[in-house]
Amino acid sequence: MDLSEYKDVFAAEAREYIQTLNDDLLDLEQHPHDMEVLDRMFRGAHSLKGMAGTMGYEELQQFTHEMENVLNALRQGRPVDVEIINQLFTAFDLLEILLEESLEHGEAKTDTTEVLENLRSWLSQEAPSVQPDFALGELDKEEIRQASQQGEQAWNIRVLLRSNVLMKSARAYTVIQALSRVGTIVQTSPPMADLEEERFDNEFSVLLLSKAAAEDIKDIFDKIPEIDHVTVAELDMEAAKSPTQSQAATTKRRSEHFVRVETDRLDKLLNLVGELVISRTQVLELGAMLDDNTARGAIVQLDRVTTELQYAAMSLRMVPIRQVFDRFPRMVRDLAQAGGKQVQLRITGQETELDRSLVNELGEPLVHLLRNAVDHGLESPEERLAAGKSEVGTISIAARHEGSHVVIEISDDGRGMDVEKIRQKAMEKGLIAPEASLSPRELLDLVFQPGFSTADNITDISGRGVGMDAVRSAIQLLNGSVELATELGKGTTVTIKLPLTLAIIKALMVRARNEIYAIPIQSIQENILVPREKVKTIQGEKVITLRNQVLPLLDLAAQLDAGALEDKNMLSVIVANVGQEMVGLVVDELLGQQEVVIKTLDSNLASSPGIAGATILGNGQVALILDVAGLLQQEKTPYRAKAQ
Amino acid sequence: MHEYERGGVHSHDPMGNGAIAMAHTILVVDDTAFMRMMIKNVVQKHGYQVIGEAGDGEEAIAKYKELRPDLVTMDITMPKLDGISAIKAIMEFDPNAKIIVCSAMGQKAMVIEALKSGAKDFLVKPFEADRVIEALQKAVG
Repeated sequence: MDLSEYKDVFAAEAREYIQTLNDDLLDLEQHPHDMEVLDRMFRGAHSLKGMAGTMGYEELQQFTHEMENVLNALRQGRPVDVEIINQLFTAFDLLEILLEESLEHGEAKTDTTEVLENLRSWLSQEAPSVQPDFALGELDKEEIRQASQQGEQAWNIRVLLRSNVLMKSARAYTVIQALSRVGTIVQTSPPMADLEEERFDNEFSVLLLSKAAAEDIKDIFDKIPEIDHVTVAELDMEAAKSPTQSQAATTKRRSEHFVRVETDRLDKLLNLVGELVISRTQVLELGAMLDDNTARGAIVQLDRVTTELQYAAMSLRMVPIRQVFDRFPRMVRDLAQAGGKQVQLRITGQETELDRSLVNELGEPLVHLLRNAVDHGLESPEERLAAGKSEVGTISIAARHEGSHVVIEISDDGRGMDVEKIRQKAMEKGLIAPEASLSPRELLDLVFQPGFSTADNITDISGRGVGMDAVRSAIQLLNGSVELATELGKGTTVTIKLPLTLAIIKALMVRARNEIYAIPIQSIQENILVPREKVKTIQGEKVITLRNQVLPLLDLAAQLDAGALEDKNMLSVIVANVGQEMVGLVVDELLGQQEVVIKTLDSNLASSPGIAGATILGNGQVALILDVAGLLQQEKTPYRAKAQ
Repeated sequence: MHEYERGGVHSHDPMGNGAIAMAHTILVVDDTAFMRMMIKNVVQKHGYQVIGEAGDGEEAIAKYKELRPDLVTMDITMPKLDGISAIKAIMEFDPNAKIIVCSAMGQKAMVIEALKSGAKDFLVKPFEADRVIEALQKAVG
């Protein structure tokens, strides 16, 4: 059988399982008695084993098998302690490596001996006596008491099916049926519904009230095929658990209807919708010239439906930000342990949706920010106590929608940043002139300058800022912005603002010389007309004064080597901003607003600074989409040191 | 009386080697001749005697009433009348009837339904000879 077509689905699902295992393990660490979590983990490992086996990934299969054994032992009542939790964390990490290796090479080469031996030695340690895993409520206990008064005995019957049973549920049913002929079945473990749905391994238990003797009950199994082993024991009522809340809630999980679709297909759909959006624009333009009301009505309808289709298609690409956040609890835990910090992580807004392509790009910058928050933002427990704070620091990650944007905030209640020290540092580094007068906000912004801080001098300055320039440029590539707010002694908050999607954006179309450009609307503040004589030159740069602020001007055509602009007395200037920085883009003509579908550029062109992509206009002409952040980076802003 | 008579009527030698004096009698119900042949070959090799075959549920009921076999193997999906309805009808006629239901993989709901209707055991296709014989032995000895 050719399995390659299943590989993607396998990969996606297997990764999901590993993530869930990690999440559940974190949960288990907090609630070591939560049977539901243990059951889910066991099932997860079991499913993973089956999937890996089907794909022929033997190493992966063997490894998951061993994990399954460990989880099963825990499920059967082995106490959950720090030792096994840590072992499992290590095992899950290795599992992830094995999975990726298997996917890439068809086999896993990483040495698993040590981890496996640890797991096995844990398994071989004396296990406490196995407790029956029935959950008896008061009613059940009452029933058992009454039955014993009538001479019936409560039997705990454990049945192990042969490993090659083809229809476990039906086999279990024949057992239940046979047993119910000699008594009353109070409960099964796992519950009957799970037995019928084949949600059990090869073993299950039945709690039977019967006058029959143990031997007679055992004899019943002689008539039932496919039974490996049966034990019949008297039920120890004291040892039986009371039903936990989680068991009462039962396992009603993931019953929603989902279809897995290859992301390539979604992208294709979105691309086609994009083309349709372009044609619609074309039809609208033609329609405007028509006199025919019926035709115009139809075109309006087409316009409406296309817009809805566009949103529907875009929503397909939306995924909850949880996909990025998922790995943070584990990461923060590890970082905190390594750094001797105590951290409480609060995550809110995990269900906030944003474009899948954004989700993929967001992980790294967020990891960077979290790392900074734990390593440098939060103080040690001793320092915190000395400062009159709780020794446990809090880091919060919050996501929410704000208009057509997604806002992500990462904040800590740590030591905050000292703006004065930033100023000194920036002067030492020659990033600002000694006489420059900057607002606190502008000073904070310096943290994002390339080369502002390096690891060796980080802690004495502010406790923040390693690679903040990298974070900003990553976010700006996504058409987003990063800002920082801090209060000395109280903590720091980094706010990231992103567009909901990257696929279709609203843009202002402009002409510079013979080229048409699209400028993403979210980076535009306003459009103004400026008489030529108002343009001044400061330090060799052209600027204008706009409401008492100096605004540097950028000649778009010259900047992009498209020749000189037309010689006119009134200049069309687009005031654009990225974060705190502003710039005036001088163009020849404004053509109007339009939704454009971003086509990524060929790799030869992709690195052109200031260009984010291209789009096809209604008339088939290609227009470049400007990346204002990139343009700004090329062009030096006035307060940066001219000396360099 | 009945038991005695049955033993008497069918106590011949299916293998032709005189090894078995009292072979259990079997009615094989399946809509495909191929499956019937397969089951027949397997059970006859182990000394059971196939005394009848049926290709649908209606025929199965008629043959059961006529032949009174010790055991029936019953397919589920069949024309005219499905296996489950046939099991119900046969059980109504003879509450002691021993029926083993045969199903394809993934039909567990149907199998459980059949067990609820009175089938003693089940077999899952593709059949393994050992499993078939085990089921037969456990059902009729």
